Amino acid sequence: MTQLLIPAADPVGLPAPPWLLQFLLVLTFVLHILPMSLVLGGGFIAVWTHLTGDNPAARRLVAHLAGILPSAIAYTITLGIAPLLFVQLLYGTLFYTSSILMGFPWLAALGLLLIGYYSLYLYAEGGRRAEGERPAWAGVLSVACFIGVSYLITNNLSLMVSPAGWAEMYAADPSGTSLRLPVQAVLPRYLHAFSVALTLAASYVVLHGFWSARSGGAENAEYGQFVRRWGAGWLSGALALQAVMGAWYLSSLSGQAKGWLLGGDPAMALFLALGTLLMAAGGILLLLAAGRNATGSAWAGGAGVLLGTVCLAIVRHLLENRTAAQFLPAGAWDIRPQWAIFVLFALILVLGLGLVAWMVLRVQADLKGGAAPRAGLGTGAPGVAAGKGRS
Amino acid sequence: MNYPFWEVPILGGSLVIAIIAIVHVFISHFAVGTGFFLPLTEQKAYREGDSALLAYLKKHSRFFVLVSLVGGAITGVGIWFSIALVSPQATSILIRNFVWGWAIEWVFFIGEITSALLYVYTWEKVSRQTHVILGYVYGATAWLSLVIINGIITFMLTPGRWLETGGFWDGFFNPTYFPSLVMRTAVSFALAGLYALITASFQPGELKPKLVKLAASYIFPAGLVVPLAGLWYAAMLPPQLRHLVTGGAPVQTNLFVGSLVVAVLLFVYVYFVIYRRPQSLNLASALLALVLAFAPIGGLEFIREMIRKPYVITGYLYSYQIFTDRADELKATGLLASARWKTSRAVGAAATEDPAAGADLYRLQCASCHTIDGYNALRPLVRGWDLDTGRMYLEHLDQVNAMMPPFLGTEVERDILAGWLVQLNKEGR
Repeated sequence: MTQLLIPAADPVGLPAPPWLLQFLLVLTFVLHILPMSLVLGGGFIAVWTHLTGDNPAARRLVAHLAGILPSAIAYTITLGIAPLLFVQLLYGTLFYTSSILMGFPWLAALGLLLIGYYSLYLYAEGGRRAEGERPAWAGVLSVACFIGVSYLITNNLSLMVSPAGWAEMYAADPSGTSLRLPVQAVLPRYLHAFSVALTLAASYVVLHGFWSARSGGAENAEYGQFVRRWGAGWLSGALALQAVMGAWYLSSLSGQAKGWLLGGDPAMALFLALGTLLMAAGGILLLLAAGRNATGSAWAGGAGVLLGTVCLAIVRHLLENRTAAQFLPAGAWDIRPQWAIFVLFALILVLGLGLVAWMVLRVQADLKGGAAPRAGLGTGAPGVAAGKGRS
Repeated sequence: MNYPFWEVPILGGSLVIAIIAIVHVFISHFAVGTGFFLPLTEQKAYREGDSALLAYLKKHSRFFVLVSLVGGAITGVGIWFSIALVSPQATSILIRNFVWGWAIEWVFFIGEITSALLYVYTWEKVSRQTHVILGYVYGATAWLSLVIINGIITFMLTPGRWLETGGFWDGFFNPTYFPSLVMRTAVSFALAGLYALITASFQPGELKPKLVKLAASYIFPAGLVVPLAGLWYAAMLPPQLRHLVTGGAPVQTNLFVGSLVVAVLLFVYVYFVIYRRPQSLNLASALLALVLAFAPIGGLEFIREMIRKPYVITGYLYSYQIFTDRADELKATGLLASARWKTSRAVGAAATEDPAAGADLYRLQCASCHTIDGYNALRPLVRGWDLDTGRMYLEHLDQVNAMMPPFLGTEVERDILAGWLVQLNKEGR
């Protein structure tokens, strides 16, 4: 019989009931994967388009994607902090252990992130001067780094819920220099996650096509049409990949997990069915809308893909939680709630999001109102230009 | 002990944390100060109708985003990754105690990146007032994130009443919280000035002296505030910790004095070489000022970590990830019998026959702070030891050196570890 080696629970209880922490984990995870998909899938599409497309519309699409990716990676990292916090709270005994067992590759994820991030800036900035100067190598390097980072994260989260081999792994080699799991054990899950990211990014590209055409003018209409078609091509591929990888991932799971997903756990089965249905229906609606240039259907399709992703994120959590729950030590979820500070956090969250919304709206209002002093230093004292612009 | 041990050859885990953390401190404090430097200077440029200054700010803000948003964010996550690898038990305790604090900081991070990106991308595209407000929102949210993280950093050295109550606020507003916050705020402004010198060094004739004067107004106040806040900080330390940097422990004292000397040198250098002769500022002289600042800032962070030893959380958790209240139990039951993660199989007297037991005990009791041949190396420390010296040293570890925790284990285990250490001496090259 395999010896299970799980660290003992902490003497300090959880600062909130597990249901609340799980809710926040799923919520912030969904917030994290939206910009993450744009970086991973969008970066992939941008670089591919860069290397293969030689028409002005393709170059404009690359410029658009490259322009938003540095901001998207900033949000990916920041929004990723919260779910990682909640994972550590809920499954810390498992997560710290798996991280240490693959310590060096795990830390190397940061190096890859740094290289990927700076090369993304190089890629974005290179094209800001002139499109021809955009360094393709920087884009390729950046995408390769982000693929590496996301693979390492998937590897760790898979290792976290596979404690059966930990004792032997550590006894045989305590150095923490290897990934500990064979590629074939991680690849189905990774490629499925990657295909979802690609689906979200391709959906964004299609919607960007619709959005761009609304700006008016023949050039924008032509660009919009190209982007819709190009995005639809990617979306078809991503959906097909998702179907294949989803089936592979499901078949690669343990009999127990498969049983849960296929009806043994009603919540998991329900959200899996709902997620698959919404993802497929939303994707197909978006594809049809792209062909017929039907804006309303396109937004509905996009919403379907988004909701499908949310459902799949819930399934992902339910599966992870139920698997992990079997290995958590006694007392791991004892609670010692800190309600007053939680309320303070909730208040600050509302205020903070309000502040973010206010900043964005104010900037939008200024951009629409032409409030800017064009030459940098025009007329008037500070605030005067704002007053003029806003009136 | 409770978790597997992540062994980093040559550097050691604690130095990995230190390297990432010091770089992060240098970037994050710069980001806080620059959050105020940018909008304040922008307003000045508008008031004075100085378009050259505005053009400079525009470039400086791009440099700022590249350094702070990318480097700051990744090294920040890096500290978190590395402390979880090196001190998982401590990290777990910190997160369970302070998760809502971190969650609040996370909200400030969202405010920071949104305002920073909008600020950089909307130069001359939005009204001046909007743009300046974006800058101040950045400054405020960045400073507020310092307000939060400062509570958690200072908690580890001086947990104060938390040790009795376990209450969030007792740990957060601990004895060194406020002096540390004042000191870090002053350092943030000084770093904003020092980084401004870097970009100022590229500016043409007339703008350069103006920028040097401006940067100096951010740097010099730290010369007064940091020593005063430092004295306040020292006054709030428990006497035994204060004693360590004032002669009680040679390494800490030397590092402390060295940091002070370099800090004085920095201000003298900035005043005489840069402030008095602003036209001569170039990239090399600006970088030298930054390097001079790196030494005392890094030095003081390092000292904070050093005087905390033998604890990760003073009085609560030892550096080797064992709770202080488990000491007696482990001395009775033995480390090998209690440790979950080890390469040896035998426990008790039988462990003397197991060649892997010594290395396991090294990982459980020494390797959190020491390496064999690299940082804080053991081999030179055990030079000349025989088995009796090793036994005696391990028996009185915490009395011989105040930074060392007691050896927690049975007499048999003490002898095995002593033997393993003496073996290093024999293998010594």
